[in-house]
Amino acid sequence: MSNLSLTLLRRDWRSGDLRLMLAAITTAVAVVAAVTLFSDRLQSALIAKSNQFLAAELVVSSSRPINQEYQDKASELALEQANKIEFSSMIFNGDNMRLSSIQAVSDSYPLLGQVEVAKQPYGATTKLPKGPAKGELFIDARLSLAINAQVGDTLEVGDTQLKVTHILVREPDQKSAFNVSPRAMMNTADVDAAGVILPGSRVRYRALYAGDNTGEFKQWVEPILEDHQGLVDIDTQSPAIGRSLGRAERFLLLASCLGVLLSVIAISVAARRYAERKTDSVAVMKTMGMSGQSIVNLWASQVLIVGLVASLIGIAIGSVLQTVVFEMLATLFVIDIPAPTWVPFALSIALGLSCALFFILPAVYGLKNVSPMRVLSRQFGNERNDRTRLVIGAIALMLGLRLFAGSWQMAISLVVGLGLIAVGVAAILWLVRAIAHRFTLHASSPWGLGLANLLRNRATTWVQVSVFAMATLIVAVIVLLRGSLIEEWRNQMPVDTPNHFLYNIAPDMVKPVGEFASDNGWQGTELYPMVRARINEINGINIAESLTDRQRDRIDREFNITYTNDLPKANVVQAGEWMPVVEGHQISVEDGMVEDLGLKLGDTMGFSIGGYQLEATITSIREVDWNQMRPNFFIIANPGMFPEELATYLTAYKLDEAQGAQLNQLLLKYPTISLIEVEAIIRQIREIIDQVSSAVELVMILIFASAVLVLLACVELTVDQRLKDGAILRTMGANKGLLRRSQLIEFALIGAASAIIAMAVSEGLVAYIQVQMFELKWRAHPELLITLPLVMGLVMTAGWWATRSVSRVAPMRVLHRH
Amino acid sequence: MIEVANLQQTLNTGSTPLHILKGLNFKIAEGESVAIVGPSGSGKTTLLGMLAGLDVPSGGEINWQGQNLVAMNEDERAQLRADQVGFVFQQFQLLGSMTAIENVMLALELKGVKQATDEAKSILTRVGLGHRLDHYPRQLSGGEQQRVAIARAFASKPKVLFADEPTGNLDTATGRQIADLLFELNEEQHTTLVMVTHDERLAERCGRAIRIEAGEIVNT
Repeated sequence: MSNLSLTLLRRDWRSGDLRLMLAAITTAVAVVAAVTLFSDRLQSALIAKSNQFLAAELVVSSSRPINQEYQDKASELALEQANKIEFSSMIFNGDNMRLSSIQAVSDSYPLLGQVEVAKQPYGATTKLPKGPAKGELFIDARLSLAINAQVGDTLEVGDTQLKVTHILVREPDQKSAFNVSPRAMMNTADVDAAGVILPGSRVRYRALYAGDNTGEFKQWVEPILEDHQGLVDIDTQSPAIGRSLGRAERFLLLASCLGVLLSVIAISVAARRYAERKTDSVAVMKTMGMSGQSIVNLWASQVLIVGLVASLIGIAIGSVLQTVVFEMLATLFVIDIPAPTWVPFALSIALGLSCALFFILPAVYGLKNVSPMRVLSRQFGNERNDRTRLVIGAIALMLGLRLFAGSWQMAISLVVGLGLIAVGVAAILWLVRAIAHRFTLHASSPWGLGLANLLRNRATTWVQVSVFAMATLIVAVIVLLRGSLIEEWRNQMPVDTPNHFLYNIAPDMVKPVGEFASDNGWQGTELYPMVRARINEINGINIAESLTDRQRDRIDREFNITYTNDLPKANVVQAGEWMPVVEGHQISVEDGMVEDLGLKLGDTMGFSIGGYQLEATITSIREVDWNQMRPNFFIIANPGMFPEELATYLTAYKLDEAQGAQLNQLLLKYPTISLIEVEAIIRQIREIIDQVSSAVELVMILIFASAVLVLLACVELTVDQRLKDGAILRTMGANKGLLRRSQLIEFALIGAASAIIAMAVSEGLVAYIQVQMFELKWRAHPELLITLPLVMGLVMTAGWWATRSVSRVAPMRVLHRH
Repeated sequence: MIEVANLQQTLNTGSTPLHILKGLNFKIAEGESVAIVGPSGSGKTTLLGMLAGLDVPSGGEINWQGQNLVAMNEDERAQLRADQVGFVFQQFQLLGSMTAIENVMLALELKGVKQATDEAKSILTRVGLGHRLDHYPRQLSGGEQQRVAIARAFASKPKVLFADEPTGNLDTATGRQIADLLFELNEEQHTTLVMVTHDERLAERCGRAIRIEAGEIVNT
């Protein structure tokens, strides 16, 4: 039988009946293959790259030494490990000394990324794979200038002496929190000898992990973390990147789901037509002695072959597409793009075969029941199993979507949404019919003929309008979401986003720094006064008593607090009022901190700063958009609360490369000013936006291809009937012009009806998805109106083309054929 | 060869049952050629379908060389058709997606014949279409299509050939040629021929005619 089935397949292929189905499966698989391959590799590439900002894949951080069992477990899982101890200590160069933030790192540090160093302050930089060896010390430019120490000098750290071998420019996991003290890096092997860590010292221990089993380690360690320990990975370290990635992934998933949905519609429609066209052949074959079972076997094997071939072609197309996109982006990646895993391939093949199995096979399975009597009399029809097919299809679709999108909510709402469209279309048709009944439709006018045709073949009209509306809806949803996502991303990282933060600017330096900046044409943000204070009381009770270990750990450091009467950009007051007129001091606190510490409006917080003890009432709670790269503060106080002489200033500039060089002159002139460069992280987020945008474009192209296939499949569905009707009308004297015009009107009406329904539903659906899934703001989309002429035009063109032979072929031939 | 006893076909359409065949009895001997004639709606086509095992009657028996067709399931009847039956239809019923030779080969392939191509070529040449092997049905005239259908029917060397108005869709001259071909091949292969027709002249060429009116045999 398999030989016969191949032979028949070859003959069928020539006839073109199979092509539309093959094309539809191929498109579905190509969409999925391209998207899954792309997001698989993009994900690996971005995570790999982002992890360099962490110097590891996972970090356990603690205020006490990290448990030995963590180390044991990590060794057991063959993870790479490094340790880091952060503390403050005086560093001496003879009589010159300065309190410095010191990081002691083990030999294997950093696990990912490199340490950037220079030979002299603000000099040319090089990258090292390791931190300082035992006996060595890296100091930053500020410390170098402050204590007048150069590379080669020997400095005292506690009881030990270390030799300066490099000027520290940037370590991969440099925190963006603003540190007042200069920085230095030494080896953990020298920490004991230095004797600087004493009971009660403020110390932070970090254990860094990387390797294939990091995920497993994370799962193991997360539930057993102690109160004073925290876990950091790319999501917590860099929420902006994590969130962009998350959104991008959800979008791509949604888009490919919808793409597959479109293809499945095309496949179903094509399968139905295929089965219809095969009915006569099957009847003939049955007269030749084929049993129902052989018929099913024959077509099942054909369908599987088609599914398999289509899957392979789809994967090939998908692979090529994603490779092309990655090649275009390759220059953006510093690291190698990892090869894709086998998962996307398996998924694509499974999809192709499932399409064949669940959406084509049920259609051809019905051929089993075709009566051979059909060869003698047309009244023996083919009992269609549409309802069974619908149920099988809907269940398969829901399971597939659930599997793919990982959410029942989305799977069910999509299927229900499509179902609603079908019901809505039926209702509209019923309404139109009820109205049309009141008027006489004259078959002599193209309008009358067209409308009468549509209403007479209500079942077909219903299928066509529903399918076109679904396809239009899907494309509209994708286009709208894509637009708002990309727009949102671009807003998040506008071109003038500052990439250099200057802080620790003493009040007397504000003017000269401002002049220097304007002389050189720097673009800057506002100037924020900043004080560093410790929170020591909440509602008058010392935090040692009022907070849990974990809560205390969260705030047990000096906070950068600004004071201003103006609510900064990217801040939204969630509760309370922004700086109302009150007696005493007031503060506005970030919502995350409020939640972590269990605070509420009206609570008071006590601050200790430079020997002062100050108290303020919380009068507002703010939501801060940390995605935006601008100066942001957990706590904002009213001006006048903190003594002005304790403040330093913070500002940020957007500098190009040449201006970056000017910056070094400024820093050499005012060595106490500190600098944070965020160029790298901004560049990374931009890259993500660009890459994901191009992935989105790619998916768009495939979605359009699927939609066109749906259109073709659906128009094809009625061509036979239209040809026949046309031929009959022509024998009765209808002229070509009337026929063609009425058909065009039919297609126009179908297009218009689908477009209007799709527009209405998509506006609602997009609003829902935007708000629920992407945490974006809703807005109306007047641009949707373009759908109407667009869809009408497309349907009319496709319909016109598909029925072009109606008026060309002699009616006798058409009738003869039928 | 074929023995029909009390054959009935009743359709339940609404309140009153519709009797299409009302207890027919007749025999067809091996090698015989029989015409089933009668006006439209008399039940000729239904009878042909029953005889060929394409449909099952509501009552009575059809014995094929001692085997009761009515008691067989669809698969067994399909097997019987595969082994012993050939068809020629009024509408030709060629598969439009296949060429002339492929249509004939399909019948042979379904029977598992190895030299399907050679045999198909030879029989198509026999019916005078040796030069049109690779043409699709739509490229052939009505007469040519029916020749292909005849070649297809005889290719698998059936014991019984059922023909449903084989010339009904053809002009008189072509119809006559097709009838000639049908009888020639019938003669050559010693096939039993059962033919439904309106055409009295065609019926006369058969050995015997069974005349049906309103579901009853009026004379045989």
